[in-house]
Amino acid sequence: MIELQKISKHYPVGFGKNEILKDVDLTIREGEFVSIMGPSGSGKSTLLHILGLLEEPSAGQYLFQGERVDKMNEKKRTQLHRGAIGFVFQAYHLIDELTVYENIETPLLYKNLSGSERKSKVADVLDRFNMVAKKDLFPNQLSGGQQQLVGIARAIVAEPRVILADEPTGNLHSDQAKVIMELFKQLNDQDKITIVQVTHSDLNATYGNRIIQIRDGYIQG
Amino acid sequence: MLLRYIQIAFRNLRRQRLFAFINIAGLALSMTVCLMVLKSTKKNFSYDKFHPAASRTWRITSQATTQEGKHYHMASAPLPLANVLRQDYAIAEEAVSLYGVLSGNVTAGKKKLPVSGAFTEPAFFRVFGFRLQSGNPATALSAPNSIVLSEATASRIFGTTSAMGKVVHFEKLGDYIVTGILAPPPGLSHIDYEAYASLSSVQALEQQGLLPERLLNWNNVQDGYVYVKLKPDVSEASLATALSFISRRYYQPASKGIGSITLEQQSLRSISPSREMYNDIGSAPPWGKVLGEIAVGLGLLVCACFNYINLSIVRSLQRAREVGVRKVNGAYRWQVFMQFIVESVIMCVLALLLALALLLLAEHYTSIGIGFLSGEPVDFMLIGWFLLFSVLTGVLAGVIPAWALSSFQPAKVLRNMVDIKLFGGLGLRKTLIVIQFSLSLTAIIFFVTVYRQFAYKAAFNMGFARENILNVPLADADFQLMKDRMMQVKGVEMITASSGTLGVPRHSGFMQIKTAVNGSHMQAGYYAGDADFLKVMQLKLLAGSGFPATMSRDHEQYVIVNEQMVKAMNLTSPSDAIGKAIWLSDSAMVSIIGVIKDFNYQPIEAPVFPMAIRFVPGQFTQLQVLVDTHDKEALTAGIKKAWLEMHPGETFSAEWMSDLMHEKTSGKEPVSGLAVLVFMITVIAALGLLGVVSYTTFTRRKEIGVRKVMGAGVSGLVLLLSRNYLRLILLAGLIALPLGYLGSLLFLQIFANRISIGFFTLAGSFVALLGIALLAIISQTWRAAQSNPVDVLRND
Repeated sequence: MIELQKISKHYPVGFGKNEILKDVDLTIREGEFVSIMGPSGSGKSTLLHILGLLEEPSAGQYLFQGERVDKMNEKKRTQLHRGAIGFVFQAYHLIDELTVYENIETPLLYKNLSGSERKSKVADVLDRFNMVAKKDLFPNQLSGGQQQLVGIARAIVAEPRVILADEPTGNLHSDQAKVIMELFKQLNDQDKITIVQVTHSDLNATYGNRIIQIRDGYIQG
Repeated sequence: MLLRYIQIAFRNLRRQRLFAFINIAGLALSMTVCLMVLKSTKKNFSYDKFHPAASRTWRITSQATTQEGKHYHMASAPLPLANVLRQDYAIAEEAVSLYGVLSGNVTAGKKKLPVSGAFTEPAFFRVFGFRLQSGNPATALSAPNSIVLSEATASRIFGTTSAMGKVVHFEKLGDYIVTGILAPPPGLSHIDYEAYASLSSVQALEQQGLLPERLLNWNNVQDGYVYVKLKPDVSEASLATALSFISRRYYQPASKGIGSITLEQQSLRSISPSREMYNDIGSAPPWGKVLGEIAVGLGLLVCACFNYINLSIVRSLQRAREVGVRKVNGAYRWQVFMQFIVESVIMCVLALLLALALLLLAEHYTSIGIGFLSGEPVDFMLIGWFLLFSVLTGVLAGVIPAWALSSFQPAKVLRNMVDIKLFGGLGLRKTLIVIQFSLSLTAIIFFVTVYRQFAYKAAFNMGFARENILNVPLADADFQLMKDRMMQVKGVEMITASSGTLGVPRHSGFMQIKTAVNGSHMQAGYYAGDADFLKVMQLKLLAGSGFPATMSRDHEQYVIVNEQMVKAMNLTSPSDAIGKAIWLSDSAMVSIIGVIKDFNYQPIEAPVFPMAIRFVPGQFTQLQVLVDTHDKEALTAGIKKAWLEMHPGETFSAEWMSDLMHEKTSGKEPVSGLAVLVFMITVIAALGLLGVVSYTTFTRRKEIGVRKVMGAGVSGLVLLLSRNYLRLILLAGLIALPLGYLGSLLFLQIFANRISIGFFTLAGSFVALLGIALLAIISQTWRAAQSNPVDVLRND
């Protein structure tokens, strides 16, 4: 469902440019659980942002579900964000002013779902993640692991085809990380959601079924 | 969705108390003024809305050119014009004249009341929307000597008894039978006379010589007002053509030495607010005042909006992540934009609530001083306008921050907060701060000058006594009798009768005089006073003597003049003037008996002109009683008792001269009004600065931490953090000092006797503002410099 062809990305730095990705070819099929690994500064996060249509590649083609998306306008990109792509971040990025319930509801609001539909979908997700009791708490009242659970709940509530996770367990200790990774595994197995995660941890990478090593902007073997 | 926006807006307000407080307080302060302006503006534009055919009713005005080539646009028109329009032109459905000379005292029983009225015709009720509460509009103004009274005037003259059919006696203009009572008009009108008498009365009055000949006089355009209601479908152009034709028929074109008049039409709907025409009638304020009020209100509002814009943009760093998350979750830019607009609208509606409370307070305590803005009472319509106004303000204030915030790229803000570029950069924020402080400093300088000038005026020695003098109205009693009676009251030292109080605006009389050297007439001021006037007022005699103790009451013989008069007569020394003759306006000849030192008989705005003190008992209106101080209450009681013996059944009202002077000349209202405005604009600017410094210092906390670890001291850090803002204040000073100086200079032009602005006013105002700004800056930077670097650096 994801096909990158000769994707490059560089930023202007002073008079020269800083090349982050060089001629990346990558295909990810529906239902895969892919882990992108590599040292700091190797371009993992940039690759993930390009996959998630948050950044445009400097060169190359990107096909998402068979459609050319690398030069898409903002409106169409937003449509994909609404329906097809969910994000999970290392720093959770919950909205501090919203409760757990409201944070999870946010993507549904932008999908223009009716009140009752939103209610039932959020209730389902809360139920599934065992967070019903915490739905009226604010993010700063939760532990890191719980916050990341909310982050994942928010990512899946709009039923995306793919979840992009940027070091989802980077800020968590190992017990919490295990819970989160098992949840991803479960989403991949049961819900058939395609998952792409960036990670430093070899252990986390084992939950996936493919590992992509990236170094200095090139995909290794 | 909207509900969610509102909810999150409130949560944000609660979390960001400083931000919310600064914005709501600033907006509320400026909105209070805006609401007053809105009320007053609504009133200003509500004139003449109730006339049945306002769109085709016109007032005829006159463009007059005098023999000397001077040009005047007068609201009035020659009286015969109405007849010409009615009879010779088919375009007019109705024409009506208003002849505004029916003014003077009305006697009713023992009461004597001033009434100002106009003569007019039956067509008055067909052209304008005035209704009669009793009487027949078709005939009420037909017969000579009939009169229609406003409801208030009728009850003023006749009390609760019905006025219909009763006689109103004007002292000079004769008797009129009341044929109608006006219903209170449904709205304001520029026509607001207290009484309307039939125009058919005027012919007889002119024949008796009681009124000058105007009915058939095309050359006098002073007192008549002519209105025409055109037939439907007649265009303005045809009226203009008719008027230019009439102008050509009755007047020759202006040329050297020949005056001329050109008639022009003015739509009834455009009469108020007034257009600075000569001879205009009604109480509508001029456009200048209307626009001035609006400018002040909007100016303050814009300053408050600047705060919102500045603070929102600075604070946007804290909201950037939220924007990123929302966009990643599928929000379009316009949705994020709308969210921030909703937030600023909510802020403004909250400010409106506070402003409404402040408005009610201000109206309750009008002494706060913005009394020059008067308006209609608050009704639902007005509340609707207020609401619309505050929503518009919200949109206005919110557009720039919302645009800036909604432009954030999620990839950037979610990855690395440090790289975010704030919208407009530092330039925009600096500009807004400089504008605010420039305005504020200009206003402060202007205020200090106004305050000093009025204080100077209050303390100015005008050259006459004002302490321990009680003004007691004569109220038609004989001055000598009353004087004799009052002299018996214990504690009274001396008494003079006078026509008015020295130094109070409009108390001085004016007359045309002729002297042996001045062939043509010249104008001079005068007060009527008796033999004791000079002594009580402590006016200094330079030559000659005061009035002798006994003088003829009917035949004016002597006059006392000031030095200016001596100069105007081309005489070198005061003693030369003694015995010289002066012809007064009524060609009576009097001789100069004394010359007094110049003093400010008019308020000190005016220079001292030639003036005279005349002995005219008929013009005496009051006794001025000089008293011994100890027991003012017993003394006033004694005088009251004596006065009531001479005026049984009337109400006693006396006033201390010093109080009257203070009330009429202190300029308390403009000064306190200005003080409120200056206070507001300064508070808004200071709050804005406080907020911006607070947030930018917050964003630099890491830098502060690093510097502290490297060994920077607190004072060095405070200086570092404050330096940029101090530069802005200095820049504002550079802009505002000349502006304030010029504004003050313009203001001082009003006064003949004025203070100089001086270095200390300018420097003092600047230092005061700098002090306020420093307080705002250092309170924030000091706190930041005190922070423990470990707290900051550990978190990153």
